[in-house]
Amino acid sequence: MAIIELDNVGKRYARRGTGMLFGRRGLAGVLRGDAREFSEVLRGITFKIEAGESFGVIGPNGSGKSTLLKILAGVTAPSSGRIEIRGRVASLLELGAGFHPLLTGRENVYLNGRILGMSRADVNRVFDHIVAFSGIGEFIDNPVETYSSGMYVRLGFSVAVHANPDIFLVDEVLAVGDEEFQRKCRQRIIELREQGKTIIFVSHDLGLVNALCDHVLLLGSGQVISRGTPQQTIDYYLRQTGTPQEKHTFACGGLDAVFARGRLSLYRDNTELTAPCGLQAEVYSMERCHLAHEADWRVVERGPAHCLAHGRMTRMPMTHIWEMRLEENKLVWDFSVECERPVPISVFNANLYFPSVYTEWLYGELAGEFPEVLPTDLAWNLMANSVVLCHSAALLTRQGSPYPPVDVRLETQLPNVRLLMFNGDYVSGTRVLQANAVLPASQAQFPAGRTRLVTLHFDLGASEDALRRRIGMDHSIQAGSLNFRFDSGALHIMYGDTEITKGNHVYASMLVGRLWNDSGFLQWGPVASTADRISVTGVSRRFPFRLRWEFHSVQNGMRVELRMEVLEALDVEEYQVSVMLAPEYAHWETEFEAGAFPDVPPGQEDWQHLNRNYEPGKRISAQSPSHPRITLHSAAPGRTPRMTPINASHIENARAIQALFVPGRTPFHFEPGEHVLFDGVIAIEA
Amino acid sequence: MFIPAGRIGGNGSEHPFAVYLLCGLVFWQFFAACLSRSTVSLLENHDLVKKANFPREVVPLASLGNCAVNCAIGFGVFVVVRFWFEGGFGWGLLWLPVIFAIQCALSVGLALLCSFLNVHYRDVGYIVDVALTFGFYATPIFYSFDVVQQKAAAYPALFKLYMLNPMVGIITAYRQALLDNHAPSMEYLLYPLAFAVLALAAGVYVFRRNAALLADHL
Repeated sequence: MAIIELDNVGKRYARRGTGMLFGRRGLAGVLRGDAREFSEVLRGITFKIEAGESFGVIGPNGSGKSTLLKILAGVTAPSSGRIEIRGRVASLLELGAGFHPLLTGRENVYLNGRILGMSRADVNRVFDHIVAFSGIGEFIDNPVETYSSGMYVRLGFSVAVHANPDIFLVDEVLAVGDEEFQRKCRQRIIELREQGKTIIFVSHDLGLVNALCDHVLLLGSGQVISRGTPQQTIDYYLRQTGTPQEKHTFACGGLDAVFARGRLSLYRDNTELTAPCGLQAEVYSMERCHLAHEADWRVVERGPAHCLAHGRMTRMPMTHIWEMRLEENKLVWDFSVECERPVPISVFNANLYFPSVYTEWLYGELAGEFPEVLPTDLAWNLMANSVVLCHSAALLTRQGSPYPPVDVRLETQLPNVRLLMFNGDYVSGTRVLQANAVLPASQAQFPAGRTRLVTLHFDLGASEDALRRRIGMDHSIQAGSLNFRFDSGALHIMYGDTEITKGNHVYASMLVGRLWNDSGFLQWGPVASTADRISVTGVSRRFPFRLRWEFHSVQNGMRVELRMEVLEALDVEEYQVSVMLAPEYAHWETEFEAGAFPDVPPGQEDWQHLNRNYEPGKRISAQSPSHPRITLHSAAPGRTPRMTPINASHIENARAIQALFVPGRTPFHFEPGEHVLFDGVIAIEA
Repeated sequence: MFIPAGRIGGNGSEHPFAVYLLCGLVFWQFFAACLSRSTVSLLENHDLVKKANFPREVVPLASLGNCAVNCAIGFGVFVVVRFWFEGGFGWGLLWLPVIFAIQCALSVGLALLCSFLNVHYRDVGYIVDVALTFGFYATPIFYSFDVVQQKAAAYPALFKLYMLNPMVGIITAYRQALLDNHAPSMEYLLYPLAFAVLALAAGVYVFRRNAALLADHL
C-alpha cells in the first residue's frame, strides 16, 4: 500500500499584506465584503509514493515545490483534495528549527526530538549517536546561542536523521555545512535509503536527484508536468528551462542535440546518450573555476543541424564560442574562446558526462572496465591517465544495450591537451570523459581575440569491433621470437614471455643546458603502427625540439632510427641511446674490450661506466646465461658513438648498454630542421 | 465611579489592605499575563510553526503554563502575607480549585481566540493590551465589589456594563472563599462559568478549525 497518497490536492493562498483589524483590508473590509484575491499555488496534484521509495521533486522556482513539501510535512493543510500519509514524517526542511538559544545542546536535542515525534526514551537511546554524529562533543552542554552556525546545523541534522521516522522530507539541506559535513549527510541519506526509508527529496541539484531517487516528479506552475524515472524527468526539465534565446534543438538523422545555456545534451531516438549534466566546460583563471554554464548565453545561429552559441562569462572578459554540428551519426563540437583583453588561463576542461550504462572504456593503448561506483566514492576516480598524449577514447556498453559505442576524438592546436577518463562519484553516478589542458605558465596568457581550444568529434556509428581495433590497438611488433612494444617514450623488448629490458627500456636522452632530457619526459603523440613498423613523435616541454622514433623490424631485431626536428637553433652537450637490461646480463663486449658486469654494492647511487677504452665504436653486446645475447649496432652516418657498458644504481638493479655521443670542444649544434641522431639496430642471437 | 485607592483600605473591607489587594492582584495578573502573552505567542514562535508539524494549541498553552508559574509564586507570597496578618485559611480554601478551574477555562478560551486572531490581524495584540489596562480598573482588585454595588442603583446602565466583565465575579468569588471563608455566591460565579465555557468552546472550535492553515498566515 502506498505510504503517501495525494488525490487532486490543491492549495491557494489569499493574496494580501499583513492583516490589520483596523485599517485597509481589515475588519471593515471583511464587513464590506471586499473580494479577496487568491493565488493558486498547487492544482490537482495526484500521485502515490510507495514505502521505501526515494522520490524526487524538481521544478523551477515558484513551481510549488516548497508548498508541496509543507503539505507533506503537515505544516499546512491543502485547500482542496485529499492527502493520506501512513507513517511518521520527519522533515529536514529547516535544520535546528525550534532550537531554543538559551537551552543547552543537550536540552535542545530533547526538545527537537519531541518536535520530530520521538519520545523521551527514544531520544535517550540514540542520544550518544546524535552527539557523535554531530561532532559537537563537549559543547553539548553549552547553550546553543554560543554555537557557531555550523555547529547549529550539524546538531539539527543529526537529530533529524536519528529520529527514525518512516518518511524523510529532505529539502536543500545538503547545501549547508562544509564539504566534510555534506559528505556525511549524503552518506547518511544513502544509508537511510538502504534501510528502506521513504525519502522525499526536493532539490535543484539534478545530479543528486538523479543519483538518489527512484522516481522524480516535475512541477511547473503548481501542476504535475511529468513523472517518471529520474533520467526521463530531468531530461524533460532541462529541455524546458531557459529562455528561447539560450536554447536550440537541432537534429540530423536519428540524432538530436539540445543546447541549453552552456550545456549540450545528445539524444538518439529519444534516448539521452549523455548523462543529465550533458557536455560542459570550465576554465580556471587566477585560481578560480569558471563554469561555462554560468555564462550569459545567446544562440547566434540556428540551423536544422547546427548551432552556434556565444556565452559571455560574467566574471572575466571572455566569451565562449561553441559551434556544434550534427552529421550522420556524428557530433562535432568546436570550442573556442574570444578574449576582450589578454586573460591568464591555467586549466581548461571540457567535461563529457555519460550515463553509467557505459561499462567499458578504451583509451589510447589502454582499455578497462569501470568498476562499480560505491557509496564511499565521493570524488571522481581517474581511470586512465597515460603519459602518452592521447587524443582518442571510447566508451562501450554491455552487449545488447540500446546505447551505441561512443567514440571521442580530440583535435587541437594547443599543446598539453589530453583526454582523461574518470569514473564519476557515487552521487552523480556518471562516467566522465574530460578533455583537459593544463597550460604551463608561459602559455597561460590567452591573447585578445579568438583562440581555438579543441574540437571534439563524437562518432556514434562505429562498430564496437572497429573501435577495439583502432583505439585498443596493440602497438607492438613481432620479429621472430622478439616482441617490441612502445610505451611512454620507451621501447619494451620481450623475448618469448620474458621482458629482457628493464627500467627505462630502450630510450634516448639529451643533455641540453645541463639538463638531461629523457625521452620518457617528452609528450608523446599518438602511435602510428603497422605490422612491422612503429612511428611516434614526442614534443619536449622544455626545449624547442621534437623527437621521432622510427622502429622497423628486421631479422631477429629492430632497426631504430631517432630523428630530431629542431624548431630553433639548439646546442646539445651530449646525447645517448641506451638499452637498459635485466640484471641477469653478466658480461659485456665491445670491439675493443670485454668484461663482466660486477655486482652493484648497496648504496651505489650513480651509474658506473665499466669500460676503459673510450674509442668510438660501432657495436656493444651483453650476454647472459639465461637470456639471449643482445647487441646494439650503431650505423649513424657522421657521428660515431662511444659504446659504453654501464651498471645502473643499486636500486634500479639493471645493466645498460649505451651509444654515447660526446662532442669535441664545442657542443653539437643543430640548426632548425630535421636531423638524424641515431640509426642502428638492436639484435639478438639466441 | 472609581474610588481613590487610599480610601479603600478602611472602607471596602475588614481585611488588611495587603491581604486584600494581593488576593485580587495575583489572580488578575495571571489572567492578564496569560492573555497578553498567548496573544503574541504564535507570532513569536513563527519559526517553529512554519517549519514543524505539531499540535498548534501547544504554543498558546505553553505561554499559559509560563504564566502559571508566575502565578504560583504570587500565590505563595499571598499565602505568606495572609498567614502573617490573619493566621491562615479556613474551609473556604476548598473552593480555590473550582474558581481557578473556571478562570483557567476562561483564560484558555480567550488565549486560543486571541492568539488565532492576532495571526490574522496583527493589531489584536495592542488591542488586548489596552483592553487589559481598562480591565484592571473595571475589576475589583484594589477596591471591593461592595463599593461598586452600593453605587449600582445610581448608575444602573453602567453597572450592567460593569457586570459583563467575567473577572468581576471570579475575583469576588476568590475573596469570598479565601478571605471571608465562605462559599462564593452563585449569582456571581454562574455568569463567569457560563462565559468561560462559551469562551473555551469558541476558542477550541475556532482554533482547531484554523490550526492547519495557521502557517500560511505567519
